[in-house]
Amino acid sequence: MSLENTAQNQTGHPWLLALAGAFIFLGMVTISLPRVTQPSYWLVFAIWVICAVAGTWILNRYLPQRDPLLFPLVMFLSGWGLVAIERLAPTFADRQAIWLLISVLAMLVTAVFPHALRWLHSYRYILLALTLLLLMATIVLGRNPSGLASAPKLWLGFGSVYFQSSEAMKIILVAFLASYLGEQSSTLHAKENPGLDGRFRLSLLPRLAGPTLLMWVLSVVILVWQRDLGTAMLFFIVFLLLLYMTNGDLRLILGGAVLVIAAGFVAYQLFEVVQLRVDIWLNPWAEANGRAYQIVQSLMAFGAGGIFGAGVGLGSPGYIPVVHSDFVFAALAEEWGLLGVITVLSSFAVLAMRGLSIGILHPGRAFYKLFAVGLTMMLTVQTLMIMAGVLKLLPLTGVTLPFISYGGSSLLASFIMIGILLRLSSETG
Amino acid sequence: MQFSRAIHRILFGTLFVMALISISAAYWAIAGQNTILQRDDNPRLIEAMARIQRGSIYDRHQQLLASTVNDANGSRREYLKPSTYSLIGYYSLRYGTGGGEAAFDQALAGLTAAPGLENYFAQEVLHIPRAGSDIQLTLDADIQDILAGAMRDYHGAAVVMNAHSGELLALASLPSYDPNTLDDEWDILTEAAGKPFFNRVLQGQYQPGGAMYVLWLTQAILSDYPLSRRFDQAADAIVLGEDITVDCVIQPPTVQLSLVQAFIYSCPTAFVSYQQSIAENSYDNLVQAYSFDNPMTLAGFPIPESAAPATDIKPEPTALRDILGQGDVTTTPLHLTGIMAAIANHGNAPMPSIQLGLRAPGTKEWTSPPRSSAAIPMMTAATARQLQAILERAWTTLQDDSYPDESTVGGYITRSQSGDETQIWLHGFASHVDRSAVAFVVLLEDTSDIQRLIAIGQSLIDALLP
Repeated sequence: MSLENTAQNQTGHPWLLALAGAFIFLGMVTISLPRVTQPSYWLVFAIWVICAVAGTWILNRYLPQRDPLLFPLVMFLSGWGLVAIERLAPTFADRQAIWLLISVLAMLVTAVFPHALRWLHSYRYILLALTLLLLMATIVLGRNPSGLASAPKLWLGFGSVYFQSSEAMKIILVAFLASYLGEQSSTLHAKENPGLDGRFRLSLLPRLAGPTLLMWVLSVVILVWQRDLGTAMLFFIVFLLLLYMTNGDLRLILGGAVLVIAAGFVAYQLFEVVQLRVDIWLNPWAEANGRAYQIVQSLMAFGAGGIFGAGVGLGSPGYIPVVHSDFVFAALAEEWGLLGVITVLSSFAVLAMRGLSIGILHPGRAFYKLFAVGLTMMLTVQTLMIMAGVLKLLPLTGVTLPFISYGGSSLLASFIMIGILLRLSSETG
Repeated sequence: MQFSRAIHRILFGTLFVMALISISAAYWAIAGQNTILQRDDNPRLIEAMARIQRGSIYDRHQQLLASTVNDANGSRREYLKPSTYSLIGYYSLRYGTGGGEAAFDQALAGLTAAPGLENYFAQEVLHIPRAGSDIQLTLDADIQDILAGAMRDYHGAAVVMNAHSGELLALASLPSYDPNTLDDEWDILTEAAGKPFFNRVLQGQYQPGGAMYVLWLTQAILSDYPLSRRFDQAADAIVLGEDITVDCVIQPPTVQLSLVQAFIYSCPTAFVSYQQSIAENSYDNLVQAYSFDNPMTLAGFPIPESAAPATDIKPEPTALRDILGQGDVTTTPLHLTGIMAAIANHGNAPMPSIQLGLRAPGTKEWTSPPRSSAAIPMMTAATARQLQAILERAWTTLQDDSYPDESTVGGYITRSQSGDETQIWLHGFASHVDRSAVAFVVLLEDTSDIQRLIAIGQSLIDALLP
């Protein structure tokens, strides 16, 4: 497999969107059949169609050289997400559709606006400072849409609209790291500097230690103050991958993995929420009707789905608490079966390949390369973390499944990342 | 080329993790599916049960006894014949299955269908609700009605068996319960003193009491013992303990009784005297021959609970308690019916069966289940004939009814004490030249109302004969 050979189709693939539209239409029809027909199904579908058609038209007009698969792929996934939310939590479907409209609009602005990349590169410190301020504000003023006192307060609320500041940080942080590491890349890359002696390697230490320390502090802040294990892990893993790209030394990954495990161990000792998640990961069966109810029901959903799935609207994913958000993957497994799971995984695999290929296709522009890889990995690692958590391969981390799970700020951030990737892909020539 | 190797490695790492996730998902969806879905705490099991179009249950004349009814509130199980409730059992989403519903659960739930591609496609891909097979029982609901009606004020059991085929025509255990209202009354029923869920016919372990006299009569016949020889003081009672006194169930006209007379009036002393007068005691052989050590059961139905011998018996000589049927041997009404069937069937006890047919979903034809032709040879045909004659005489002594020509009716009454309760039993058979012989046993608990027991027998025989 070679990412260099992934030729880009300059005309895009409108038939892919048509195929996705047909799939989503069928899904909507299927879940509407047993119920009294409500206009909301068709409003949601209409919004998706508007987003798909308008998005394609604008992108064809302003970014004809873009990656042709990214937009159809994320529209397919987000459409599938709308069907799933309409099925699982119908009252949230309209809201998610509006978030989709906003997200696609934001994606288009990001993709079409010619100075976005330059600004992110040039004003990285200011943007990082602003985002950190946002994070601080969340620590002080954070709320939870559920209103539960015990729930993590990871949102900033403006009336009935909530936004998770860590979502904004995903983009800004990757931009900052890509910009910083891109500038340092020529000196940091060990393989490109075989003549580096020990003293010179030592002189590189502050350049590595600076961002590492920043990331560590940021992760600890997120973990300690927000109890957001998932986001903390996500940031640290993406940072490690970018550092590895810059340095080319696999030991960095191994060292980082040791750090993550060590941090996990300490967090386990200190924080009840981490303890809970690790305990139920190790042995959910002991508390299948108690604290591990969610993960056990999730695994049962996979079993109930089998290969072909129970059928849209015919499964019982409602037994999984918060199924429309963190556990939407389990709901897909129950109703669309293993075939659905593999389809979702394949879509994300293609997304990862296309995103990484954008990085490959930027000769000599380290910032662009690192930015493309960073954003792709931010989406991919998040996907893998929640999928592995839902399947009990990892402790649950509480992150959403990009494009599919219910969540406005997550959808918005994910689409902006796609907008940036589209912009980056159009500038590869 | 500075980054491309690293990007490729990251991609391969990503794809590797995705492959792991696919394998894990495949494990839970295919290999681990049964393990996790069969857990008791899987709420989907209840939903799956609710979706099944469970088969109906019919009696031998295709009278509907139980079926699944679909209405605005979903589907529910409906039971139509109160007299059959104790045999049919229950099917509840909350409490599972019991009785016949449990015994035939696999067929009724459609789980016995061949796992062909067509079934797999229909259920796994199209999700067509699974339909179960219909079951036809050997039961005759009319006979069951008569028995249950006659016994309605008592706790007890009754079994009617075709003496040749072993088909059960009636099987009643009282008190019973209404499976239509089971969910509402579960707590009351499980704590009820009469134990309505306890099937006395199949699970009740009773002291055989006077039923053991058949063994001694058999022993006497086989050893050519003079059956007309009379024993003095044969109407006397025998005290086994502070609370157990074994005496004649029916008062005999004289105190000098032969073994046959003692059998007819169910008097213990003659049998004890007889045992003491013979040199060789074949107790163990007879217990084995009558299969008391391996009682009859019905496949899929509850099996007898552990033996519960009388608690207040003082340590009398083992032989005496065994002779009087108050020893270590216990038995079920079903097994005692099997012994009566052997007497009516040339000495061979047929294997009891309750299923007559099975009708696959969507078909009209009934198919017969494979049936065991094996029988337990309990006695010789000649012995059986002699016992039949004694039973006929006993029944004639007990009541005055006359029966159609070419009919043969026999029966005797015994008593036993199990635990703190006294039981009275009617063992009998009825045959007609046009019909197969039928064996029956009726048991009433905690009563000494012999006349009532005889009346129940008369009603039953009237129903059995043309």
